Amino acid sequence: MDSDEKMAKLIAQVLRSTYNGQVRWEVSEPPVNLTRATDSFIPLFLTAVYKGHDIVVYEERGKYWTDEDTFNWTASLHFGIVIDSIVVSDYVKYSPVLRELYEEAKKNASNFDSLLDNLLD
Amino acid sequence: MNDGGLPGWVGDTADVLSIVSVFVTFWLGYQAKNIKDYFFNRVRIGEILPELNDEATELLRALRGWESDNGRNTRLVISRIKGILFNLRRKLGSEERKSVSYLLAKIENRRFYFFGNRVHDVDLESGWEIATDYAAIISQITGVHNDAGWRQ
Repeated sequence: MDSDEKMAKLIAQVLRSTYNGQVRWEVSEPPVNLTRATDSFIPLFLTAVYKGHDIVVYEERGKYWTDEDTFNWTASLHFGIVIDSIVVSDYVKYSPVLRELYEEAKKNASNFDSLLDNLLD
Repeated sequence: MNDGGLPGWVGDTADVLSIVSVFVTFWLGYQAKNIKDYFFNRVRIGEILPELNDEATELLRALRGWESDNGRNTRLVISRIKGILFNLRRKLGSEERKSVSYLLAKIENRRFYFFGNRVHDVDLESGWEIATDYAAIISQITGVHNDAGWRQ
């Protein structure tokens, strides 16, 4: 099993633990090594602790150059493991499991269910 | 002796070329079919990809609700995925087809080709395993489909 496959498996495990409520996600500021000297923008950066390790999932909006002077804005999802405030093992492949983890982590960080319950009371 | 017509070797060459041209026609027909299939499959894969993604999300959410319905919804979604993959398999290149066949075998929980179990034997663990493999296949097919856009 190569490291990409292991990461894909880890993302599925984290999603499963998020579904079960064993992992709590929080909104954080992205570290400077992701925001400095780049045109990319990170609208949401979510962190959690899984089995004693810091993990992150975030969206990055960046320029996709189609020619020397033309570009489109694209969005990609990242999953990574944090060591000493630096995101290492950055997984950026498109995956429906990662998309679902991002959506679920967003809901989890905002306590979406209880928020809705409060609004409906 | 030539009695004013074309030399004999011209007729002989024409015979040989006629036979060769039959094979060339078949070869061209085969190539045209391949090109037609390639573009048809590419368009179809582009259409099927959103469907594959929606089913992946459905499967993950069904797995989340496993406790409440005892996996009924999960099995329903896996049955649908099985149908889509069967349809998709013939449209793929050999590498992706191999991955799809491997997953289909896993879904059917086959140990031997003729003695496969049915989808209703899927449990929570194998459901998650199928979801992970299915997501990997979607990543693989999406990558190949995006590459094809650059090959034109």
